[in-house]
Amino acid sequence: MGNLTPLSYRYDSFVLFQIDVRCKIICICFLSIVIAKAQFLQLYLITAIFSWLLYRSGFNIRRLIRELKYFFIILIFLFIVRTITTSSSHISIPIFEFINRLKYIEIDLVKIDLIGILNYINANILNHIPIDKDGLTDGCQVSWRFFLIVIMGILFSSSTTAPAIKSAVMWFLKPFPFIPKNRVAVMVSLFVRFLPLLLEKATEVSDAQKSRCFHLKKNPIKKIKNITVPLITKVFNSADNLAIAMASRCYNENRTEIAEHSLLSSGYEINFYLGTIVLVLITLFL
Amino acid sequence: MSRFDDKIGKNIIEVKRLSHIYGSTDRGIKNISFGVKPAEFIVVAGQNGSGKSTLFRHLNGLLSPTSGEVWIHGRTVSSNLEYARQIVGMIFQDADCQIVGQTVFEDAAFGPENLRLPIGEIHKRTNNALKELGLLHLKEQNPATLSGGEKRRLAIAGVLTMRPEVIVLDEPFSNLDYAGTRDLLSSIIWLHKAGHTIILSTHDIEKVIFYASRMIIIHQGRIVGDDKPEMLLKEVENFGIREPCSSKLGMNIIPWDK
Repeated sequence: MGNLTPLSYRYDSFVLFQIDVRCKIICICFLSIVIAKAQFLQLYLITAIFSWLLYRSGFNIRRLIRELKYFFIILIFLFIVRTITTSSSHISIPIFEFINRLKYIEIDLVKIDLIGILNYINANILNHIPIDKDGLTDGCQVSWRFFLIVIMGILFSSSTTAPAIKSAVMWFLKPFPFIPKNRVAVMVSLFVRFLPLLLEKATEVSDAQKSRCFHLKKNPIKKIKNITVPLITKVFNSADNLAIAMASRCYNENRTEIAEHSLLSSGYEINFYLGTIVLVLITLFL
Repeated sequence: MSRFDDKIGKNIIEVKRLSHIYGSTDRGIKNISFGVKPAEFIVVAGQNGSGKSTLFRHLNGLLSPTSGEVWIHGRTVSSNLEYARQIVGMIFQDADCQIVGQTVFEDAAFGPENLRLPIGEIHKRTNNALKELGLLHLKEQNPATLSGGEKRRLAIAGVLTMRPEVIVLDEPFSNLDYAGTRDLLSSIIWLHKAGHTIILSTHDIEKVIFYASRMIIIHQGRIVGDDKPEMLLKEVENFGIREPCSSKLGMNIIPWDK
């Protein structure tokens, strides 16, 4: 029995799974703007709402965090880059002092050689790069926003099937006469269908490599190469097999869509629209 | 009387001098000819790489032949692809690769949607197929959460909704445990009893040989045997296929699942 990745569709009776896909897409568009503009208050609020939605959608939050561990590395990297590159003349902390503080605070968690390396880099390269309060705030907000966008994507992808997305995309493209609606919708739905597959294959490759003590390798370039080459091969093979399976069942663009029912109102859409409007107003006026 | 009875006697599929060579290699199938009659249960046996999957992919036009032709009810497959794919339903070796829907229902309904059937008919066929294969209670689930046996049954349901006459199963028992294999075997027997023509490839003939009405042995891309199973059983080990235990012990063939 297979495991579902965070992006895989899962069935649940929760209202998020029942509402009109068009409503979800409209709310996502506005929420993306809200998140891009959000300060700490709005970020807290949206995090609370998303946490509740994740919980009600049947996600195990601890497991989700564990599955997103590689994404958190990107977030930390993003945080560091934003912190260093955003500066102002407010409270300035030289990086040397910052690392020293880190060393004393995290002495049990950070390996001694890492601190040595950081000190060496600091003394020889980064000594003049300041870290200030604005940089820390900006780094924190940007990585938080990025995190919320990903959580929103997970909520959408896990509660919506690819054919439902296809139907919604076709509906949105109806007013535009020269766009090949069917083809665009198929491309969008296949892309959404392939995201979980990509994660699934990455996990398979990673597990297979771990079982042969791959984690003991130190060279990061070799590590990336060893993961990427089999992953790409697997993904292309899967795409090929999927295309053959679709062809054998007469796949074509001109087909009956049973997912049309996902464009029917469940009656709860108004709550989602209102919630989004409230968040937009809070972001604009607070 | 089954809906296929009026066609008994005539071949559904005619494979005529079919060859398919991969690139400049010697791999593929060479000069293969045979016919398939309604309600036959054909086991295509051969080692890995003998050309079974390549042959099967020609039966509904998933590959184009290097030479030769496949005919279905007198029409060439190459110029009647949709017709061929409707008549010949294909179930692949890897159950995961043929799942195209994100729910069990969506996956089973994929074929009839492509055939542009009315929504009511799609629902009727899909619900019937899922019910017949014991998957109706899982219709809203993501297929990734199903067991190996359930995935194979879903693949059969997905093909059944297209109402094929012939069901082609490529190594259906690979990667299945004992319970899953028994489960799938009983589904295949049920399909055959319901009037479908079965063409099944395997390198382990023991599981199905009792039910087969005909056996074709493929070796290095060529047909080296095509007869009733009991006529060929003593030869199979010459082509890298294991002879069933009961045959080795000089007994009559007994069903594997009993």
